[in-house]
Amino acid sequence: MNIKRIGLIAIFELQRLFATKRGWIAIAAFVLVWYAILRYAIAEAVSIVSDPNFKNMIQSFSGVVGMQKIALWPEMELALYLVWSIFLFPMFVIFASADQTVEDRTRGTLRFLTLRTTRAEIVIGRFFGQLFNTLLLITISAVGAWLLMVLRDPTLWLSGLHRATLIVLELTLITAPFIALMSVSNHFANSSKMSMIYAILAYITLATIVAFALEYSAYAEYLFYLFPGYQGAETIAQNINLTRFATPLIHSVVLIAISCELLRRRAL
Amino acid sequence: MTMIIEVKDLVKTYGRKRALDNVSFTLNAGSPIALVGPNGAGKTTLFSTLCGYLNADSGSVSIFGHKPGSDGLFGRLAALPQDAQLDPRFSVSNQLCLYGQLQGLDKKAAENETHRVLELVDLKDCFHSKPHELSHGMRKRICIAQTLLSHPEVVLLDEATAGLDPVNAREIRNLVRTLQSDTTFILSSHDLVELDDLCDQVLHLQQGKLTAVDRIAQAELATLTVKLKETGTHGHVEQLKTLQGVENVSLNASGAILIEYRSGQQVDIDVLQLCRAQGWHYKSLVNGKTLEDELFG
Repeated sequence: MNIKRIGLIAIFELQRLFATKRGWIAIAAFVLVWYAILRYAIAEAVSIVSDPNFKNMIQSFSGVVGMQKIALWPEMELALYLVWSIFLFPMFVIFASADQTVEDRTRGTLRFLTLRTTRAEIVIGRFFGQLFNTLLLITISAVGAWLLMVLRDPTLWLSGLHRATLIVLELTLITAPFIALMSVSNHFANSSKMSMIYAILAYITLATIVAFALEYSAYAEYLFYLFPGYQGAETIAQNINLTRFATPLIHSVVLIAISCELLRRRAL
Repeated sequence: MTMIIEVKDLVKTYGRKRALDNVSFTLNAGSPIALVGPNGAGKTTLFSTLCGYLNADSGSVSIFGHKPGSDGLFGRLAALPQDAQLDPRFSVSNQLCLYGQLQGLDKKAAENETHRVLELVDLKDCFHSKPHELSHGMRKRICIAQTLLSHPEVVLLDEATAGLDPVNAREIRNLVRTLQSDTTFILSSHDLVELDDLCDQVLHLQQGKLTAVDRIAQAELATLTVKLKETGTHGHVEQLKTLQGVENVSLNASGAILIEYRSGQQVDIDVLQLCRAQGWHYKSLVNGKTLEDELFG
């Protein structure tokens, strides 16, 4: 495994987003969507959530929704941003990282690459490239949420910056297994669109099977830990435990290892 | 001579079809090597196996002592795979520079190398172009250019001139001729005239089985191929048989006359004198058989 080659491949993925026309259009769309969410959903919600009566109401059923800790954050924009992002970003990366190897494979471009780098390096390099792209996009949206908060209450800028940084890092960690999932899905499809469809179908089908199994055995709940993103509830609850941080790491490593093996066995 | 490729008992099957059937050969560094055979003979399968794109069912392949696809071959073996395309979203320079860097060059050296190989295929103005802005032939030449990055020791070209106009096809042949002293080219093509011109050694695949033809090996009988303006006839054959030293004369499928004579004897002058005396107008006199006659004659 050559770190330099992995780095080169990862940097090339950055260029795919930040140095191509299609990439710029994607960034523009992303910024506009987040502007709409921040302006019309989060900013509006803050005025409701900051009402003391509403806070009391949240606290009264906090045990059910698991939001008792973040509901008390003075940086309310960031609390709402976190809740939105935990659901949106995994879905976003399924679309954004749908083409890691599939289009290059069908076009034959992987044949040029595999004479210069190993297949595992391609998989890992592209995973890190996509992860870094996601980190940058999450940062852009988090900066938007932070600015919104500073406009409301400038005294929160420093504590908000600290919290926003932690949120960005955690969201990146949460999205990592979804990027790895798309890396695996790429080996079963012949286009990025089919890759997305396969990933979503597989996720929903398996989740439905596990939910069905729950009716017969309570132990089936543990199977949910196999699903990327399942630990998201721990993040919203702000529980400090191993599940919250180790699960996405383990998911990512296992899925990337599977992806490497699938590409190693595959004819190009 | 340095051995570059050793293939032993290679077998690859697709369903019931044996694309490669116990193929074994060794290749040494040197002049270009042709890989010929009809459609479906297994040429692309063999190429793909040598490049590491395909895993064989059984048998072994060793290139410079390494398995195909291993990092010991990066920068030493390059290939033009059939139908492979560059990424249309990135410029030619972006992609070729990346390939150069992956082969171990620094950024500046990779850029210089990209300029050099683009100049070799006469496309230096396409440095900033994106592949979709180029014609099919130009894209093919760019793909050939990527094989030449960093002076690889072995280059496999699968149907390199297919789809190119005659002028560009000739340029590619000239390029192979120019670079053959430093690089061993293995060429697959259906154009036997092209391979005839370039290659001394031929790997002939048919239904997955291989026969090697060494075109420069010393045979007991040498051959001259005479092409007359008119189609060769039995009259021509009988006259030529009368020349001293000639052992056998025959006609090939395209009407050319094959004259076999004892190696070491000089019959070419006698043949030309006979042509002149008989008023036969010849188009070409080739020392040896054409590749087509060697394979199918």
